[in-house]
Amino acid sequence: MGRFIEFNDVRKIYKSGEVEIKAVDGVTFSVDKGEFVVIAGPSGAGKTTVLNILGGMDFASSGSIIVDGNEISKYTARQLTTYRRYDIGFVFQFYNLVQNLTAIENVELAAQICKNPLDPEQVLEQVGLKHRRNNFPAQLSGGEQQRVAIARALAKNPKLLLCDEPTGALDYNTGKSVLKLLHDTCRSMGMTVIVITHNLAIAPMADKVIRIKNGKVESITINENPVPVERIEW
Amino acid sequence: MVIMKNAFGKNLIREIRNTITRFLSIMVIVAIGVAFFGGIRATCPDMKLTADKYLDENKMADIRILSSLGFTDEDVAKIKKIKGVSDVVPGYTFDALAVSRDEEKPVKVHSIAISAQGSGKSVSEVNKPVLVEGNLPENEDECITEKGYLNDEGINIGDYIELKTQNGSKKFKITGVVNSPMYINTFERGNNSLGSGKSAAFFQIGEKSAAELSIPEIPGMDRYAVYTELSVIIDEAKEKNTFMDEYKDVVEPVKSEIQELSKNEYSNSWYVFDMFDNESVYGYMNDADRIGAVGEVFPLIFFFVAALVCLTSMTRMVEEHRTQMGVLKALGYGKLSIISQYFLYAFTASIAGSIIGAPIGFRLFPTVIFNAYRVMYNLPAVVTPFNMSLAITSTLVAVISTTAAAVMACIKELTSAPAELMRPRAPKAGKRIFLERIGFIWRRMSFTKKVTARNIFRYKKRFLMTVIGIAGCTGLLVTGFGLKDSILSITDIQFNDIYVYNLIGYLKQPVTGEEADLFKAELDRNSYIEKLMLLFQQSISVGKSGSNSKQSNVYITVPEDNKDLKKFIKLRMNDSDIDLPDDGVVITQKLSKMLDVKKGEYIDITLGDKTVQCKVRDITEHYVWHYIYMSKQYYNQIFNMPVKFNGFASITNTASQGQEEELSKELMKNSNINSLNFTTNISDNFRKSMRSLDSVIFVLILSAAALAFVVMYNLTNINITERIRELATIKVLGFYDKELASYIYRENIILSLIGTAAGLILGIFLHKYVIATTETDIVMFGRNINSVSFIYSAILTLIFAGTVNVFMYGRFTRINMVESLKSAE
Repeated sequence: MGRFIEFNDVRKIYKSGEVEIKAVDGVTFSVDKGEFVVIAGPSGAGKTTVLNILGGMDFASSGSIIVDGNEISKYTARQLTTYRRYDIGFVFQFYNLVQNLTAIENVELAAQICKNPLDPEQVLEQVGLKHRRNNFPAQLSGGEQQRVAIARALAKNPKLLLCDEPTGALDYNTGKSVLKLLHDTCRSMGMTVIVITHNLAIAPMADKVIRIKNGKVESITINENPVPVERIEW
Repeated sequence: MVIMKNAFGKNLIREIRNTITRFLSIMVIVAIGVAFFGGIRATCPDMKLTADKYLDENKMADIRILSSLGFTDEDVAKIKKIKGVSDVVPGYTFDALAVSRDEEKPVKVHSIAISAQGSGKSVSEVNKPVLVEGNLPENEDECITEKGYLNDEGINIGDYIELKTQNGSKKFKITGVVNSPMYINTFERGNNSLGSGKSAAFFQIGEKSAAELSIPEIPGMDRYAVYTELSVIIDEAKEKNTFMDEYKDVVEPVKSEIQELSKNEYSNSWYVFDMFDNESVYGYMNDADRIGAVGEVFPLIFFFVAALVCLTSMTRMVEEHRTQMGVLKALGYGKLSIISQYFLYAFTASIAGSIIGAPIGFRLFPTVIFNAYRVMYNLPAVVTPFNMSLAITSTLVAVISTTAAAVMACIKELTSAPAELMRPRAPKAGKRIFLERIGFIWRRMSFTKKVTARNIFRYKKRFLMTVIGIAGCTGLLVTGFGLKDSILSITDIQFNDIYVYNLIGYLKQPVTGEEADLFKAELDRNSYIEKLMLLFQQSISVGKSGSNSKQSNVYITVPEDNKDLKKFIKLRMNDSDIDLPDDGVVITQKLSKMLDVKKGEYIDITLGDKTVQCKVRDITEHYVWHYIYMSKQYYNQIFNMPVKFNGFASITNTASQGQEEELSKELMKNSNINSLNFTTNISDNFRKSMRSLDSVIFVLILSAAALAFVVMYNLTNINITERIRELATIKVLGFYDKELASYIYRENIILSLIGTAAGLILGIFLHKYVIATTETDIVMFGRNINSVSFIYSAILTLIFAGTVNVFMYGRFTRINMVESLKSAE
């Protein structure tokens, strides 16, 4: 098939005594290389769980996940760490920068463990924060912090960029600029980007929209002509 | 932990269950602190209680009166009339030679009342032997002795020995093996006027046989009606603890009256001794007091570190509950009710810890320490009563420090407005540290190393607590090892270095002039004697001129020749030698400290019934007992009479114990020699006594280990939980578990190194302090610590701290990235 990512009938079940919670209940989808994908759905639908499994941070209870030809669902914990190290870039809702390192150092932290990192200075410049390289996270605004986080993820030169509610803690305009940055990176670097959000309004900017509800895929929509994010209002 | 008005208990239990490790760690360290504090402090009183019980049960005489003229029933009656005296038991104590299988050994013999006598004498018992094996003697041909004698001679119960004195000899059958309250010390039996001069063992025989052997047959005198010794039992003495002042208060008046009686009616011919003139009892008391001194300081260090650990734990706990506290505040709950939950948590943990720790400590420490002393003392197992006042004190200290820490942590948070509390705490701004300015070092460091460096200096509270905790541990170790060094080194310096002589002897009659020369000549004939010097040595009491307090464990020493003295005893201070002056005295170091007397000041010496004033010209380095060295010229000057020599010091070339015994036997043939003592003997005894401190030091070291472990565990725990998001993020970034661990461990290791270095310095001061407080009256400990001890302490500390790292490695593998990254906090 040659699909970049294959998510096949994946289930994640939490058992708490007698109670079974099906966080992900048979999700199947695929993603091509270089696609900008939005996974949308209401709170508690299971989107984050999908992202976590995809990012190698959690194990699936059943089903298979294939990324770039590798069946990561069969990986051991250590192999998953290696997977995360070289193949994945993660952007969190709450940035999760190391408080004790400056912006440039935060990016360098990620770069130093990779095989083929990008130049941290350059990446920081790409996200427009060259002038803030020596500031600590506490001295940066939310948007600036998120951009540093993105730079950190990009510097790893990953195969896949995963973003969990990247604009959740940001205001409308800042959020938009962050999304634009992600999209530009996707196009310019040919990087596969998956964004999780509960805000359906941004769906039009994606190449593919996967709607998840109650742990199941509700619909998969392909946008032939994605809308540039500047033109989206919400 | 939500507060519901009438459900305090339920909430508390739930909270405890949810944070069980934290609760337990506070409980455990409080338990350790209380056990240690209570246990060590209870040891000295327990030791004294145990001995007191033993002495009371076996009716050890409160006062012993000896007289070379003997006592009669009349004398007994007179003493019985003295107020406070409950009973007077006459008896016999004398020196004899015990012969078994052709070997003769000097022994001490005491009489014992044998029941079926019908002689009308009182059969009240005193100084009762404790039967270990066999039976007490039932007739005048039987005797009892101690196990050591049977072992040494290779004989058993049922065998015969012969006791010889100058009044005759008699054969006895050994019917039993006993211990005696008169000899609680296992190896010291006192001096003897026969044989080698040192008693090998004690025996007890019937009164009639004792009279026959000890009292010469004089026509017209009924020797069965004359006694050599009277044992006095005092009325209220039994209920009093022998080792406390209350006992002295009851005994002193009776002792004085007896001494008065001796002075008025018996021309001062009686020797009146109390319990503390018994070498064993006195030595035991000193040993117990020494433990007491250790117990003063050490436990406090524990409590201090325990309080620190509680503070960090509770601070962490309060931080975790920050949002909740904000919510409660917003809902309108008052500060007091919010604080009370944390107060209760800390209170419960510390009370539980105290309740567990106290009984364990009261049982464990006295038993362990006492067992070390059982090598030296024949006593039954230690009594370990529950010491209520100690329990209360230690519980109070523990509870107060723990709850104070909780409340302090709480109050700090509650000063913020509710809204602020409900927002996540703003992360502390990263700051540049000094190291960054040093460009070429900073640039070379990897990022994890940079984070480590910044973290260490950023989290100051944690920095301080780790460093202090580890320093405390190292300090304790240094003190423990150092104590051993100081104590053991003095035996060597005192007995091999300062005392050049190795034999000291005492005369029956002092000699001077021609007599002295003859005496020396006779001794010199012995090939073992290389150098010989006569001296005068007597027990005196000394006080600083102008003050009332007096020291009585002091000896005056006047050598035959001033210049010769240095061949036998080294007088020196700070490596420069001291010559014996003829216009003043030289006193030993500890004595000068105790009297607070410096060079050039004056002291009053009481010798016999004369008191004179002397000038202190110099102070000499000296470690065991107190001495005042005086030239014979000065003696003449201040006492207005020439000195008579009552002893001698000798350097011998004996190379073994066998040769020493041979020499002793030869010398004792001289009719004027009363007793002999080789310094090897004295130093061995002393060393044995110091060795029992080993177990104490072992206990200290173990506790230091426990301390280090708990502190590091706690701090690593807090470190991890506080930075869980940071750790999870890095894990997501793809750091392997090992890299994650070294992220935290690097900080731990550096802090441990800094703490250890600080601790080595702290240990030096702590050691000095403990030495000063642990010394008993008669001993001055060396102030040195061997370099090896520092190395051991450092290595041990790092091992203890490192073990925690190994122990906690699992935490890193178990970090759940998903969970940790969820909260906004």
